[in-house]
Amino acid sequence: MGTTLTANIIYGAFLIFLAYFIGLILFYLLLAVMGLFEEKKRAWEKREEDYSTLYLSAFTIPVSIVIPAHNEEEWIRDCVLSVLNLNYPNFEVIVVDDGSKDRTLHILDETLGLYPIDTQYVKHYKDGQVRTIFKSAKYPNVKVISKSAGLKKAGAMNAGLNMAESDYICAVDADTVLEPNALLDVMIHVAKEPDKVIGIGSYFGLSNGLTIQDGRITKHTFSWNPLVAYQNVEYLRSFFGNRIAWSAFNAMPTIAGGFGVWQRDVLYELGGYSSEFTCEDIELTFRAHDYIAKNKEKDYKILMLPYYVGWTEGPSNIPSLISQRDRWQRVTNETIWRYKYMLCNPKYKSFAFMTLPYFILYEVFGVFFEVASIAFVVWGWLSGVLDLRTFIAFLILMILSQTFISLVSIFTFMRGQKVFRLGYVSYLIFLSFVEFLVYRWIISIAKLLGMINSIRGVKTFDQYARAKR
Amino acid sequence: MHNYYTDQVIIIDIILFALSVFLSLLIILYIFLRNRAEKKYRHRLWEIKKNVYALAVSGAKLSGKTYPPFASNVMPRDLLDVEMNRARDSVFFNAAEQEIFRECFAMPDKIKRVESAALRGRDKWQRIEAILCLGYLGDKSALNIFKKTVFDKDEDVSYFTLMALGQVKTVDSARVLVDFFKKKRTARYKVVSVLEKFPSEITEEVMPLAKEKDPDVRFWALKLLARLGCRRRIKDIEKLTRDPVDKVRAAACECLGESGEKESASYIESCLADDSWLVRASAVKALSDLLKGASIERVMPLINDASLSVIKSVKNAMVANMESALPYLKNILQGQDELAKKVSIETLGISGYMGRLLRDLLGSDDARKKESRAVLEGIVHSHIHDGLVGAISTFQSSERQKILDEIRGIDETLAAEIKSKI
Repeated sequence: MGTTLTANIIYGAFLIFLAYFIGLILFYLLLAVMGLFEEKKRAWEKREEDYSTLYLSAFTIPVSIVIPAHNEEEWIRDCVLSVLNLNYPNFEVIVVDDGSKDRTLHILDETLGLYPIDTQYVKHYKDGQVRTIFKSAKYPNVKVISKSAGLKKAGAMNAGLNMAESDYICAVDADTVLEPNALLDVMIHVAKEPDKVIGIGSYFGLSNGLTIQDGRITKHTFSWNPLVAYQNVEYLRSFFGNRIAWSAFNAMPTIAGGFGVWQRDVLYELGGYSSEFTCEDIELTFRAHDYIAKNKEKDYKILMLPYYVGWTEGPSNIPSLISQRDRWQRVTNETIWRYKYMLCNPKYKSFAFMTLPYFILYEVFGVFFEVASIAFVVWGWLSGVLDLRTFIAFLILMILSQTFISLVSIFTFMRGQKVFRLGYVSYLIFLSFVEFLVYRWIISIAKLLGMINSIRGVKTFDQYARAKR
Repeated sequence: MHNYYTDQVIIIDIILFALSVFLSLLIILYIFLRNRAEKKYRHRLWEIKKNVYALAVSGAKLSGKTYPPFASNVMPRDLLDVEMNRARDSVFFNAAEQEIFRECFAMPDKIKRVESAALRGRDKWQRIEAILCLGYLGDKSALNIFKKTVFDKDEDVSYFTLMALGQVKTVDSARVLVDFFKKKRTARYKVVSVLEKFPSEITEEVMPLAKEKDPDVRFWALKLLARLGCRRRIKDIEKLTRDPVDKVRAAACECLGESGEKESASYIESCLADDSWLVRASAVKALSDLLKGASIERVMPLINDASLSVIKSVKNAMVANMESALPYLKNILQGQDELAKKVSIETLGISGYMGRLLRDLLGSDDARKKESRAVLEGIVHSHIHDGLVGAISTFQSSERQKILDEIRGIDETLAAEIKSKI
């Protein structure tokens, strides 16, 4: 009886997990193929437009670049200099020093030559306490806001928004180094459809290993640290495996805080960034979908582009990685819970029927499925219910489903972008085959931790330790 | 006995494995072949300059050391992109070189050789070489060649013809570009960025685009006309302020604003109530450009618009026409609309009026003093970051004290705060 019950439980679970993985493969495959077509379309557009010469066009739209910084002494100089090196004719830079305890402000002063100013501006958004506003003596289009910490990155972003003058806001993380054509690549799509594009992002990868001098990337040499390389594979999977496809359906779930452009009026309508959540970027994008639904006759769009616009510092050791992914899991859960009313709601179209179900099944509950499926098949095999052949076949299915999706994403990326060398791509391909054996479990642990912390109501933005440059 | 679909799972595994291996090999092969093709492409571009030099100096071969070293480090298209080369010490074809080429190519038989190569060269790079020569020479007779090569199915030939046409800058070359613009949907921004550097004589060529069915074409035509000037065809543009597409209406307002034709103001004014922020913001700017101070009365109601972009346009209009805006700002400061008050104070600060206000407070004219006191009261009670510290800091110590006394009469706490900061 007990044996029959065990066999039935294992069988039932097995079928559920099998259906889950096959469904996931098919869904991912669909997204990956759509992503391939979308990337092809964008690559063709870029070739036709040849953006490099549009730099001198009078039609480029002014942008306010906001860089929130909290204890970023290692990275802020390169970040700011890379922004100042942008091939873009008209932009202002607002760096917000969010109560840094390290030398961030001092380095900004050294780099920019700051002097305090007293200026008028209207506080539309909650930004905490602003202490001093500085202007750069060397770069007249740069301002620095020194404020006390307290409202997380959202408060810092809002402080920058309050001072911003342009109709478009570009949020850049302080540990990100931008490629010279970053703004041009992205803003051209805004210039073509200024009445429709309200948010736009593009691919960015990890800067670990890059040779950077005075904000310029002199050599695109990527880190061979397997932990970092795996993250590069993950980023490719995320951007090219699904985000590009979602963009084609106007169902983008996140314009990442590392680099993203928003129409200022939309941010105004949305009330700016919210400090209620662990991170601010994904929640803002969900809120923007509410805005799109409310103004459906306007046909607003949130786009994701396949061009590499910059590189951000990623965790290079396991504790840091777990800390980061714990945070990401928490904010995903918080956001999905807050906006659960959008699920399968026709008002939100593709976002409701395509993106949200994926998020819930894979991003929120996926870790349970993965861990449980391994636990059940191992139990099944050990208890003699599952034969070795079935056990191995199922394991291989789990491994190869991820491998295949990673490879499609790498292919999609490499078709249009020429930044990874052949050797590094070969390394990433190799890692794709073995990801499931080690890396996947680190991420699963982090996600489980994130789930537990979510339930506990933890909302801190713990900055993980990053390697010094 | 339960069916675990083992065989089916194994089949899926085999398929996935085969696909993964195939994809891996495909990626590696693709990158390898692409790298080779790029090297070749770069080499061919590099060869172009050498050959052009050789042709210009009647066949003399120049040594590799003559060429600027940067050229081997740039992306292929950058090499021939004179706009990108603008910041470098030696451009691909700088002004002096172009002069040399014009002199060398002044002989008809040389031009004929180049034209023949552009049309009938067997090697595409030879054709591109020739097309660029004709462009840099400003050869007007080459237009018949450009008309064909711009629509060449090879995208490199087409692209470099576009660049060459951008060098010629005549009405005839604009005509070719306009035709290309209509037909080549994906390259419109690029074509427009080339055309915007043309002289205003090309307006007549661009104007018909404003009547095209495709809203993208109308949009870009209007943006271009705003740069080039469109006085003669104002009536056509006025109609476009009622276009069904938001961005076209906005571009029409921009165009009318740049035209200088005050009679168009009523058309722009009708756009102030448009439901699109883009149109309203454009209309405000256009009216301000057109009517200067007289626009303030019309745009002022938008000072508390739902769109920050529209508010910014109103602010800019006020700053540019401060004398006309002042009476309105003073009224707003006495009113109840908090947002409007805040924007007004922001405007006073940006325009530098704050300093003048404080000087009037210290002056001997009682009427102006009274007026300034009323404005100051409005500023203090608005509770926005009012910039008074910065403005007061520019005064002498005794004058600062008098100003602080005035502020103390309105708000003691603020006066103390400002005093501590100065």
